[in-house]
Amino acid sequence: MAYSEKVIDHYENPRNVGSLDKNSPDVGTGLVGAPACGDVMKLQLRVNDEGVIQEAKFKTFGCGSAIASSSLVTEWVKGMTIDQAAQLRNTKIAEELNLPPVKIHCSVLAEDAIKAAIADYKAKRAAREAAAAE
Amino acid sequence: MTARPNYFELFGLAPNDGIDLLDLEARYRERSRICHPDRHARADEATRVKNALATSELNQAYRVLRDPIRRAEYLLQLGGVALPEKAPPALLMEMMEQREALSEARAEQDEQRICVLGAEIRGRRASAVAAIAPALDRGELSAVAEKLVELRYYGRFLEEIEAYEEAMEST
Repeated sequence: MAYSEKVIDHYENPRNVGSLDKNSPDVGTGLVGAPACGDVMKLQLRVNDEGVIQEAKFKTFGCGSAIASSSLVTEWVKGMTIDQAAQLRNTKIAEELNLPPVKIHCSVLAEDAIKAAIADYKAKRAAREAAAAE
Repeated sequence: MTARPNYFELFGLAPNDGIDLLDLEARYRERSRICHPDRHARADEATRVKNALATSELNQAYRVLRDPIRRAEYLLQLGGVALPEKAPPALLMEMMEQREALSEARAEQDEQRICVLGAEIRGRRASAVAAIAPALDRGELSAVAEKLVELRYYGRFLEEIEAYEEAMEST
């Protein structure tokens, strides 16, 4: 199976590889994995008070398509509000990267990672607001 | 309905029989003699094709049944139990940490650390494999599925370790 040029580009020059401080109040972390492949993907977002994503980082240990999918979404979500980012669908990722059917689950993983990171951020913010209200 | 015999039935076994490797090998030898191509070299084409197919299916069945991991995967398939779609968070967190540690160790060419990381995961793989047979005996297929998920992750990790070891040996 041949990878598309875009997959190879992201695989060879992944964007935004790295970590943010997961304990920081403005950082949301999503950690997901596909048991069928044994891969693991961490995606982190730094969000400002207006709910805009300032920074996105990822670390993925998996196949080329999983790395490319997570690299691509970190590029896409920067500058989006978390509500916009939550609308991101795996089909757009798969389309952009020309993923073959057997690799669609890699794009699903990237969508799940974004959602998990947003959920984590929202949970932190809710906890902070609850603490402030007391 | 005439269902194709499953891999266990090919050897005259039932899925919940434990597998004794020596016994399995004896059964394999006996059955492969019967359909061995050499015995049917002068038979008509249809018979030869039939025997060739039987031989290849028998070989495949033998490879699956003698390997505890593949046997467990096959039993889940027979039982209609799929692997869970999501990996447990604790496992993911741990594997992320281990993979990060490994990539750091590789970047620093810290051979000793790589060795330690590999030994640790090999130990875990061994205990996950050891946990499969008793879970199968108890018919706890979902527990087996959990162990298989762990094994996928350990397997991926060890592929990287093995690639590193091979590269070291060849230099």
